[in-house]
Amino acid sequence: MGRNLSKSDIPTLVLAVLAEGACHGYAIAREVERRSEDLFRLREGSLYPALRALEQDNYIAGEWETIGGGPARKVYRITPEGRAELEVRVREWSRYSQAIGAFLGGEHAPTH
Amino acid sequence: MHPHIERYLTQVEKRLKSLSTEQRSEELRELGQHLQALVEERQENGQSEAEAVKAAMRQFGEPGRVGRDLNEGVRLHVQPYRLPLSLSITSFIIAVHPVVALLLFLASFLQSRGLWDAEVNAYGIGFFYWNLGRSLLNCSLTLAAVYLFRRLRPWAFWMALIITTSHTLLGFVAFLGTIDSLKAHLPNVGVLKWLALGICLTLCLYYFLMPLFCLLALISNRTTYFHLSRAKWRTSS
Repeated sequence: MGRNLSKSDIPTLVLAVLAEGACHGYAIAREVERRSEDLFRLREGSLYPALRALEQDNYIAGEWETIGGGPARKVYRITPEGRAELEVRVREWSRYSQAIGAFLGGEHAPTH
Repeated sequence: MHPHIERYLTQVEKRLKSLSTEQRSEELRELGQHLQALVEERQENGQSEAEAVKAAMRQFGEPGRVGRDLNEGVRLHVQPYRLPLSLSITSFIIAVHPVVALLLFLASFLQSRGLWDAEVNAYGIGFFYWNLGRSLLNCSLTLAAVYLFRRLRPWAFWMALIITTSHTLLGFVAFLGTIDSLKAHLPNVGVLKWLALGICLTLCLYYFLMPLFCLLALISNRTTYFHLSRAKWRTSS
């Protein structure tokens, strides 16, 4: 069963996908679904405002490229500032998930 | 392209008011390609074209919302300086000109009646006006920079921080100094005394609060600066 992603999560996941290699918007959406084993369902229209915001913050750069003789598509690449930002976000997420894990794994863990 | 997809994109385009024609055309081209790819994927999975188009549009989201979100993101980037710059300049005009003129008139009037024992010095007024104007000009430029650039470059941040901090401190010192000198030079008439006190204190408070507000805006613009610097240092070492 898939979960819709919240708007605040999308930029982080986009940066994580682009850190592995350049992609266009459709490929980013598919990669998010594949990596989450279909747990995350991206509302595709919310991807592009996130991509614009990341471009404006200079975390990613988009360019129109012709791939394999087909029509030109806009391909996004992560920038050095984007990699640094991703590191920060990964650290923050790690602290957050450790805190949740500690909370749930302690005496308040469900017993059934 | 399927007519329903074209209609979908037309709905999105209606919301892209902040974009130039070229930007709009680029956005719609990219969205159209994505929608088309979704349709083809669904058709490969056995759906008919009509079903695939309907499902793809549903998966993309409501076109008005997509357009609004895109427009909002670009609008904030393209025109972020208008509101704070307008507010700063408007505040400057509203606060400084009539207040200084009022002070000058009040002081001259009271002096002519023998009720004001301090000398009304045009150079003194001019110097005060110039200091206040300089501070407010710095505030306007700082606010414009903070909203124009999502992340100020380090050199710009530190330069603006030093100048704005000095104006904040000067404003605070001027505020304290004005209270002291007002005690010695207040006119003797009751109501006018309080009016002059109120106007001077308001102006000096403004002189202090405006750069303080800009200082806070500057710091909030760069709150991740130190994290990013440390991350970069660790990566390079």
